[in-house]
Amino acid sequence: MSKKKYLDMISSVFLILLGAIYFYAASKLPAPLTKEPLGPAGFPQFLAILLIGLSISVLVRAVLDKSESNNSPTSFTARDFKILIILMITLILYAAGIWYVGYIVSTFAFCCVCFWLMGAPLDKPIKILVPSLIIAIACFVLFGLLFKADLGSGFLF
Amino acid sequence: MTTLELWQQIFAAFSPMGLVWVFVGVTWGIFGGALPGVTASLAMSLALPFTIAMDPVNAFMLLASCYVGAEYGGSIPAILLSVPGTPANAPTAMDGHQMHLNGHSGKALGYSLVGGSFGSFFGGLIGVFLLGALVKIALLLDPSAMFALAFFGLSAVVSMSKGNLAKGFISILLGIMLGTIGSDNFSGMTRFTMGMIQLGDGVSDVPAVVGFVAASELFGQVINQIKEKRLTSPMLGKLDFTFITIKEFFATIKVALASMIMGLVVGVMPGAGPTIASFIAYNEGKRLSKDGDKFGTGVPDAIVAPEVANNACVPAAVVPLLSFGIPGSTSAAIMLGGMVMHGMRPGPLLAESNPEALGAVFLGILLACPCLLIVGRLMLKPWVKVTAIPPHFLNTIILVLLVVGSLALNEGIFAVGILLFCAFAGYVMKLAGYNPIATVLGFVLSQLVEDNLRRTMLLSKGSLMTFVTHPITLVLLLLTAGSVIVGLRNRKAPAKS
Repeated sequence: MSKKKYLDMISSVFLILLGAIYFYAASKLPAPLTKEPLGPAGFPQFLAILLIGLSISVLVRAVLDKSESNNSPTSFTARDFKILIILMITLILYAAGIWYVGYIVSTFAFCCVCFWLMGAPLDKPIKILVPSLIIAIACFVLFGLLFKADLGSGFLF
Repeated sequence: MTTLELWQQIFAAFSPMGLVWVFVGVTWGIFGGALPGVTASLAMSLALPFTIAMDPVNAFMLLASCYVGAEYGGSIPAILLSVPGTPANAPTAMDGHQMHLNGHSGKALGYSLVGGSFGSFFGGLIGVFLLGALVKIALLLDPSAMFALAFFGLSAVVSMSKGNLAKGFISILLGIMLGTIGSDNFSGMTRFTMGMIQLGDGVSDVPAVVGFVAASELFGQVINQIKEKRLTSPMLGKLDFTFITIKEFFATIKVALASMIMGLVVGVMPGAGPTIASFIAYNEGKRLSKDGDKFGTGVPDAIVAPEVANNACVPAAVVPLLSFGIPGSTSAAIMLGGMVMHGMRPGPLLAESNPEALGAVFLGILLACPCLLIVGRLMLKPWVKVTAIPPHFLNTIILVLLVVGSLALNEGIFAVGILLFCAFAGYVMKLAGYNPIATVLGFVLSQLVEDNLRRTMLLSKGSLMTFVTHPITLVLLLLTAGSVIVGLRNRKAPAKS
């Protein structure tokens, strides 16, 4: 289990880096043609400085704070992290599947995988397959036919 | 056009067939708004082709009522599933969902329904009586005042943040930074797009807001579900369909009235809109409510404030449209499209050339409110029953709806990418003690803040004095300072106790 202070330290270092990159990207923007006081870079640079300043304050507090709450473990476990990564990969594959394979097939497969991951009993596969198919077709009718949404055009349907 | 003449047009627009179309519009709006990704403007634009063959009066009544219905519809998934149907319902999700989890689902939807109807109806009445005055208010707001108003909205972060305030400010800064991606409105150059042409118009607001608020919350639920593998809903046996009483709603009247005024003022400003009104009303509701310190635990005032404000935006947003031809929101722009399709020219001459259009729009809004109460009340039980679906089914359905809702924006798979990125970022932010809802607030206000700050600096040739010499700006900045001081004091009080 990780401690809250380590989470604060890692997040603030990340945010300082993000602020520095954002500042650098803003400074590379070309100067405006008009005589505008702030220009396209002025406001983002101001934001970046604020972000770096505030992140440093979080970092300093995380390092110096000796209180019990700062040193208490977080509720997020390694297993949670593993599940989060699996969930993200499943969703990315689903999105890619919609585009390359087709909407109905991908949604059907995604639903089956989600039902299985979330604990649907596997002894009666019909209870997974039928609802998955109903969800895929219902969403297609609702969004694809009724709302005329572009649900992608993979090689299947 | 005088108020009396406008009332004459409103009465002249009434017909039994018009009433039927209002019912259709409200039902369509609720249904559209309740689907994540389908915003009020999208629901209206889908109804637009059907209005071509209709009588213009009925067409505008349908569009206006659809607008009212969608603003309420978005609160249904926000309350029941913590998935806001439209970005404007994000603040409603905070307390609405909590009240649902506390076993008062019917009441949570009731506060949203009655609050929404109250906001639209009385906002509409005020809109009719004060059409001229609202127009004058809109004209008085120069860029410095608009900046001050957006800044006022940003001050909500103080009351929204629990724990480390610096993290609250960082969260809001991240949202503002996200809002700077895309074309710069002044120079036209693209900023921070990392070579992705899809980001040229900026980060799409629907997948970003839904990702930060809804999907990040859902990730937590899905992770728990994968660990626990529960096959029955935790809400089973706890479902409550009890609607609110008149007395209960009147207990929130102070917050409701204040939120309505905020909704009207924000609504008349082009570029502001219901999302900003909701956040400002939530923050001010916390300050005004006697239960302000309990916001976040399922307090009625916290549901009523954003819902009244975003619904009061509906009549307010059509005021600049009907007066100047400038839509106050994206949905009002769809209404503009409808008027153009019927050969009308919204603007100062509309009252003379097509006075019936003004009557029809306001009648549509006013009639939509009782219709909304009827339809919303009838549909309350089926909506609540949705939460009794086993969690593995419900979570999967919501995940699919979020992805498909992003595709419904017709921005391709890139919108799904934004959704997933924001969902992941929002979930990680929550874990590290940051506030993704504050990020959403920063994101929706970003353009308003930057554009008006730069416009002010351009007009004043770089002088900051303009912020204290303009009376409205000064008042708004003082209100912001007051709001921050009260927020800081309220944060210290519970800490001491």
